Amino acid sequence: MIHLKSAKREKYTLTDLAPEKSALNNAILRSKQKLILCSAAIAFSIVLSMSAFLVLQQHLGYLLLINACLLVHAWLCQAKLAPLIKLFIFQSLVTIGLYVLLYGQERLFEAVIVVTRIILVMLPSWWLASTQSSHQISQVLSLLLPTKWAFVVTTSIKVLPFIGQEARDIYHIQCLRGARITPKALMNPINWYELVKCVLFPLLIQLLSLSKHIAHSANQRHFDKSSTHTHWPLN
Amino acid sequence: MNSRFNLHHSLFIGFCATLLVVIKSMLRMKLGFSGHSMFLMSLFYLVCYGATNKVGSITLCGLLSGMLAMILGVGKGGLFILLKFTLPAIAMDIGLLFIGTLFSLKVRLILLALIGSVAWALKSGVQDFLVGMDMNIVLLQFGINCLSGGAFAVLGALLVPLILKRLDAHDLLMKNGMRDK
Amino acid sequence: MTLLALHQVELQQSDSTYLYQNLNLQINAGECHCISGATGCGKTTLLQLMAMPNQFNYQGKITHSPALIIGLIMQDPHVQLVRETIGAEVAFGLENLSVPALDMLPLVEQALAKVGLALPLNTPVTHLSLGQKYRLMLAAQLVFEPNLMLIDEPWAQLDNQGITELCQVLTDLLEAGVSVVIVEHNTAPFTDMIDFQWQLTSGALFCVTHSPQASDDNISRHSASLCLDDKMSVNMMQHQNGDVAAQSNCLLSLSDVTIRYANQIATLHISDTVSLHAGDIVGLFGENGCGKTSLFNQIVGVSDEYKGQISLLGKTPKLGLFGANLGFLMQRPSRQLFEMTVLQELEFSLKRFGLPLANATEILTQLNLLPLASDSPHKLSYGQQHLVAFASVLCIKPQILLLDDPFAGLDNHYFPLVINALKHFSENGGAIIFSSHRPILSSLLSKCWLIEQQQLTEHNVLKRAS
Repeated sequence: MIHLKSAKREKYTLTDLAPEKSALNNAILRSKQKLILCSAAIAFSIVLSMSAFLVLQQHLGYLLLINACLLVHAWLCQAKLAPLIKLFIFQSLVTIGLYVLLYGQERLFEAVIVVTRIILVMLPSWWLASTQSSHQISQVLSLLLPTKWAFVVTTSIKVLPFIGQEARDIYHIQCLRGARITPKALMNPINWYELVKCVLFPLLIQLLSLSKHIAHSANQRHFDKSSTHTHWPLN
Repeated sequence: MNSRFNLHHSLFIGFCATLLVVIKSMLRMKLGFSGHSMFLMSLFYLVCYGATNKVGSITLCGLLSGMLAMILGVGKGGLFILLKFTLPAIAMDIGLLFIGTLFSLKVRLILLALIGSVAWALKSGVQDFLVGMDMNIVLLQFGINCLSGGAFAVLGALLVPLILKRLDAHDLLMKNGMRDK
Repeated sequence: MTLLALHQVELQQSDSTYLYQNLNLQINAGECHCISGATGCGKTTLLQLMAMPNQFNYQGKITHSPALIIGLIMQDPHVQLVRETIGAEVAFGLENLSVPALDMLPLVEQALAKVGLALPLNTPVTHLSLGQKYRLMLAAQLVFEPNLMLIDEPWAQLDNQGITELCQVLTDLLEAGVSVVIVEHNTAPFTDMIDFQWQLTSGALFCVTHSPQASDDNISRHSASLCLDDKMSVNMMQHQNGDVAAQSNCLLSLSDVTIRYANQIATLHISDTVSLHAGDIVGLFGENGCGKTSLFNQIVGVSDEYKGQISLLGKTPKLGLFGANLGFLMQRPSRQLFEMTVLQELEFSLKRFGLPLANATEILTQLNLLPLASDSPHKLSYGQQHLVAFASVLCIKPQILLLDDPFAGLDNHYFPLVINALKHFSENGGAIIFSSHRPILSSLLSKCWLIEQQQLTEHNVLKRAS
């Protein structure tokens, strides 16, 4: 176990950092505020989603109003409405279609209520995803999770672009090598095995080695030495 | 459960989950029919199980994919995407407790895939029931989801032994990874 | 003071051959050691053995002084940078040591100052250049206040700018009394600071005197010669354009092309027309991150984030359009391997393109790989995997061969084999473009494309009489 020389640390704090101290403190405060705000948003979206199941039909209007506010807020934050609209159309078609198929016109109103509730279940989640940065949400989660799994989650998010790029690169290179995995060739399920064999398999090998090396380098920086970890104050 | 997985295993499970979420978000637009996500889920969950050969790895992979999907806002995001990924995984792990090492690897994987897809369909079913959907329609949708999800899940599960065999042939399975036969 | 000593160390590999036998090394405070050796001789493993002896089953004696604190920098920055901002990255080690949050700030700033990264603490790691990332990795180790730094092969991955910055930091560290061990097959950039130079051969370390070995830095010798050529050839640009005969067998031409990368900030411009003809070997040179890979991606049709005109074999590039006429080797080519044996790996493309399977054995013979034909590609060393991937692209005998950084990680054993294969390929009418982050191999080139300040320009290279 390494012990840092605390004397040196103290000296440094007093001299070099004095003028910047207030700026840093502000930054730390801001990080904390953001974190609390994001936790609140997560809790709020969960409660709101749940209440879409539980609220009585005559009170559904209030819920609609709250959700409408969220919709406006998200829209002001320049969220993309397309996925929500797509979901709405798809849900309406399927549910109302099934109701009409089984019962004809008479229970159409019931079907509309059901669709509304489903949308109200989904909307807070969509609002959360489009207004809170993934960085903030992962920060909140990592405070709740055990250290190791928090590290796994944050690392996974960090390597996500790399994994995505790696997947694309390997796909392209195998296409160029003549593999039958072009979108057209994949219409035929027989070629799915080729996709698994020459894209997914090398990718898994990459992931195995990536996880080994990252684990190695994290442990080299004393990740496995103690069970309690502190957190870097700036986000 | 924490101590049973070393950091290497944990990260591998995490990265499988990441890859699952990445591929799912890439394919989401292109494939319209429901159930195709069960293909990816059963494939990756079972690869995790095969590579680490530990009960609990599927649940962990499910939880991590759910959390990642929630963090990244894949699909509709939020709590429900978490459940969507996690419930089939938990069901598969519970199934694994009962199945243990009975049957050959292939049959075991197919059974697990089926259990997972039932849990997946059940989750949507319960959700539909809670919003007050008509029981007949709930059952009808549950049936359709079971069939389509199950078909895709089995397809995914069938590819897993091929992958494990290849990893094993190259000595790439982790020390306690699963070796066929 | 002796910080670390290896005495008569032996280490067996899984196939029970010895990786090290009678290996001795003693590192004192403030010394700089450099260890060279062929790929696969166990240089990297030696660093790990020094840093974490209890993870290995070795014989002999490894002594760590009680005061020893080791910092270890491995090759790939990807796997060593685990956080999103530079402050958090350096603080990662402190978090693990349960240093209180507020005490972290001065320590982190101090470590960043040591490596000369005067950036705001919340700068995203992704915004850094590769050289800056490398120094960030150093800072993340320096925060533990180590007295011995172990560094694995910095030269191959850093461009010249990055190497200069690294040397500056290392010199400062040595002056502050920190010992440094560098594992590196090209020692030239570090000669000024090295106190002891070692050669790792057949499992033991041999002391080398300072004169650089002629056979040892093939690549750097070529690099020096190109710098000379450059000055003479700059005013000969655009030489071939009027030549009608040359244009008739033009395989690739790029005119007035602007590439916009995904992040939308930097762009690469090609204002003139540059072209590639049968038999040409073109070197594409520019610093890390200047857009070499991106340019390749446009040419092969993997991405189309460009404006202007690219014509490959008379067509606009599109993925899958050129079949066996186009061969492309990506960076870190070992990731494209998936078959059960080396031979199958080569035969995969031949089967898909309906070409004679005999090509595979021919290329394997040419690259000295025939003894490995029935081995699993995933059990080979990095250099061998690299070569197998190269062979699998070469064996389809394309008209155009694009190689993205094909010499990274290749040592003197494999390097000449690849060069010969390329010569042979171009003599048979094939055209080659290869990229590198520093100018190399001028004697081989017919011209080079230099990327400087986001501009790609074509330069003729004067062939040396060799």
